[in-house]
Amino acid sequence: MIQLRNITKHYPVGFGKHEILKEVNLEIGQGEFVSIMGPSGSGKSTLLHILGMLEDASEGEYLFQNEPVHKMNDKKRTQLHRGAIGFVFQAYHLIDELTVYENIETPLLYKNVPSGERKSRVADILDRFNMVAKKDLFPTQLSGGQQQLVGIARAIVAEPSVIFADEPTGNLHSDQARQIMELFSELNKKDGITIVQVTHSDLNAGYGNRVIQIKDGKLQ
Amino acid sequence: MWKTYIKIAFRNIWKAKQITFVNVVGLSVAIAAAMLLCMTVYKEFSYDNFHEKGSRLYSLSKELREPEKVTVMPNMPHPMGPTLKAEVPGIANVVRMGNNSVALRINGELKSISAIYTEPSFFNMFSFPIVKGEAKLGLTDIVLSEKSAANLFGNTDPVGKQVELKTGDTWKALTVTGIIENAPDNSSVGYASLIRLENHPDYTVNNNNWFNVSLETFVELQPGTDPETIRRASKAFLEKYFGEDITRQKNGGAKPGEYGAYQLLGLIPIKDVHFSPHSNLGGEKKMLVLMLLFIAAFLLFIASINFVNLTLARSFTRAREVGMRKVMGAGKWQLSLQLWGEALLLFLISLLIGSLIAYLLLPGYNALFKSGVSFSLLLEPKFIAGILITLLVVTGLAGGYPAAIMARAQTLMVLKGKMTTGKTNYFRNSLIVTQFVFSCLLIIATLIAWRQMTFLRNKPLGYNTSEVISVPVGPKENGKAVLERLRADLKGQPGIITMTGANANFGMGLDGSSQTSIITWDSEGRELRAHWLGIDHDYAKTMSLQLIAGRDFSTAMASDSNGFVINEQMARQFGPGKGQVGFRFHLDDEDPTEYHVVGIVKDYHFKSLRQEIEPQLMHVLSADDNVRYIFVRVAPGGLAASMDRVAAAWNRAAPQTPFIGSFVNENTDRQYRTEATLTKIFISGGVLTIIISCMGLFAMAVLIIGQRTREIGIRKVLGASAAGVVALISRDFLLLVGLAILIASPVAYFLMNQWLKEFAYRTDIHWSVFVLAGGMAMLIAALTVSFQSVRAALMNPVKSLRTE
Repeated sequence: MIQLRNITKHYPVGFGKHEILKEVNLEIGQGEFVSIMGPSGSGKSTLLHILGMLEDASEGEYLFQNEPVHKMNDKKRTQLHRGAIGFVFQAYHLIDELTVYENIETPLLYKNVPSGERKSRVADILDRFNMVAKKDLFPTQLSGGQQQLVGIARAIVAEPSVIFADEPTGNLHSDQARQIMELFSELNKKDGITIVQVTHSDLNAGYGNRVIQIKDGKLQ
Repeated sequence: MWKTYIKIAFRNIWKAKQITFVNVVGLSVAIAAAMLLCMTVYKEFSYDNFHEKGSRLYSLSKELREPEKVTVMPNMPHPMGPTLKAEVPGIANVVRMGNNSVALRINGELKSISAIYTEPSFFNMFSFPIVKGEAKLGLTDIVLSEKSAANLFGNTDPVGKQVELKTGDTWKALTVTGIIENAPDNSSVGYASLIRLENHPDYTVNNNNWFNVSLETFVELQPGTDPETIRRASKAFLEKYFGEDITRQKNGGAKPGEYGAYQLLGLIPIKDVHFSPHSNLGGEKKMLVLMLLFIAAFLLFIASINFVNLTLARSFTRAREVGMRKVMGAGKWQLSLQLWGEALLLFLISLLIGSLIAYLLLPGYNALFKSGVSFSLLLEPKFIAGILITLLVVTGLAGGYPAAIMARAQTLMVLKGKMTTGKTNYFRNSLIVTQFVFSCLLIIATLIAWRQMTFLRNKPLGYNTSEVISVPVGPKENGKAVLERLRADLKGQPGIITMTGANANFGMGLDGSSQTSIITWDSEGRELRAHWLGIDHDYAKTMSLQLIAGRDFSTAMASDSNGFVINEQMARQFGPGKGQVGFRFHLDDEDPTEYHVVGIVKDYHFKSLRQEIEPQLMHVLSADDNVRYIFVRVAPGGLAASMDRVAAAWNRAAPQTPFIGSFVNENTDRQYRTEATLTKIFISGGVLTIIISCMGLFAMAVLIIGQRTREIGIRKVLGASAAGVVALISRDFLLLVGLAILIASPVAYFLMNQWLKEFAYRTDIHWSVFVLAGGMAMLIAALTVSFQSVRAALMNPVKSLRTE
């Protein structure tokens, strides 16, 4: 489903350049649960951003569902963000001005899902995550773990084929972290969603079926 | 989708209450002011647009070539209209109008009313509908406006009723044939009643006289006639009737103008009459009206700048939402539209509040600027369309620009909380500078206009203005007789020194009228030109004119009827050895009467200070001549008591005419009404601009200090003093204001210099004006920012560091 060929990423620094990723080759198949690990500054977040099409690679080829990402225009990428890709962030990035219900509903609005179906799908997710009672609260009224649950709910409501998670448990304590990781594992197994996560923790990596180690911009 | 957008817009507006408040208040005030100003402008530009034949109606004027310039005479002689219609093809109709106030007697009761002496074509050419009776104007008919009908007859139906018109010393019976709708506010032609031209007291004298010009004349062209063809044909026409004049112009060294003509008729389309300097009905300063439009536009502009700046500054806090929406697949257009929609919502709220403010302020505004606009103007489709277009344009720019900036920003940067600020800071700063350039411009303009007004008011005019009461006589009375009655009555009364009369006033009296007569004649092949004023004896004494030779007119000297008192300019024009007491001359080669100079007065400003002092001839008014104004010189102490005494005497001498006397200095001040209005506009515009700019500055300070909380905290921990922190924050803002002063000063200098050129007598533009204006702008800005900066500087650093 995902193929990276000789992906390089560098930023100009003074007269030279600073290489973050060097000749990365990677293949991730449908239904995998991959954890990217490595020390700070190793380029793991950049790799995830490139995978999630938030950033462009400087060189190399990227095929997403056999389509060349490096040749896609903005419109096509926006389409993929609407349907095929879901994101989960360390800082949750919920919209503070929207309620839990409205936050989860937003991706469906951008996907032009009809109102009736929207209601039932948001209701299903709320039900599944045991958050029905909290649907009218605003994000600031929730605990960190609950906010991340909403974040995940929002990521999967549009039924993406892959979720990119950037240290999803980084701001959470261990109980909450375990709950979130179990949820990821369930989504991967039951719903068949491909999951790519960046993490520092071996414990979290253990929920996945494959670990990619990255150091100084190179896969180990 | 729209529902969520509106919902989130309201939540955002509520969340940023302080900023929203500044935005809405600033915008509402700007919108209210702009609305009032635009209503005035709209009205001014809608003058005379209601005439059905409007596209074919033209006001006539005559252009005369002189050696150095072209003089335009707005009035026509009696025979001009009919002869032109008979001899020049293409003219369908002509109407002549003479304006005067008349005395009417109704059932023995005396009333004074203003009348237009005209002819029946008035009804055919203009679109003033008759509401009762018929549009008939025979020799013994009178047509009344609805208002005067109500004034004269109350509730009874006036059609068919008789009134008596005073013509000279006799009374002539007239029949009311019709009631005509009141002239609209935006009509240059105004009327209270219409009477046939033949009834004018001077009709028999003027009827065949080509040289006495007194009538407004309008022509209606045949459909499809180009006014230029009439103009071209007028050359031969005028040569036929003004041959001698033209010969004199040629001899005087005038150069021929268009079509090789020395005299040409000017045709002013009726829609342009209001702004035309060449018509007595118009003369409204187009520049002044355009200035209103300009002020309206930049008030909106300045409020919009606030909006743009605050929205951009707020985009930091909105960044995360925008970024997340992009990640979820929002298109650039969807995001822009959402953010723009929020702007639109704020603008709509402001529009509502602004309209309400405008509605509440309208009576005060009308009183202040005498603009006479009504709120019903807002319902006109054109005006509504204008508001909607302005709203779209302003929201498009003010709301669209920040929206586009945010929607375009790099998703990843935004999510990391790094909203790009480098470029927008320049942009934001230049907007702040622009605001303050306008503020400084207006402060400087106000100061200069105010200095000029003070200068005009305080400049010695060469005659006594503060102790002379001027009383308009009005149409019902014989002025000379009233003057003599007053003289007898007030003689020896305390505080009354002397009195005289004249046929022209100083400045503009409470009768709202001012007049000039100019006479030109040939003297030894040279054209001489002088202002022509009829006066009674004791004129120089009453007005404190300084006689440098000869004497005032005196009742004792019978020969005074052929004598003149002249001013120094006139003496200079006569030439050396001639301009002295006893000099004898003729006013026309064919006129055998010999005139002589009896006295010379020092030059005095008998016209406004816009003009240089010109030559003046003063002749004594005979008993039949019209004394139109009576001047009473009173003692300096107890001016008010003297005014009461004169008023009481007036009521005995002329019981039919209400007393509307005023001190001459009030009248001379009144000549500068345009300037006074302009100063008011400058001040109001300036105050509004400064308030709105400062509101923006204030909110900007709130936001910037909010962003720099951590920096301020660290500086304080490292030992910065409160004053140091205030200086640090204020400096950035004050630099911008300083830059604005530097830009505004030369621009203001240039513009105000142009304006001052209208005056023959003017102040210089002193450098202190710029220093004062700059200081004011700086001080106001510093105070505004200090509200916030002092608070930030006094904050506990531990607290401010914890918030990060």
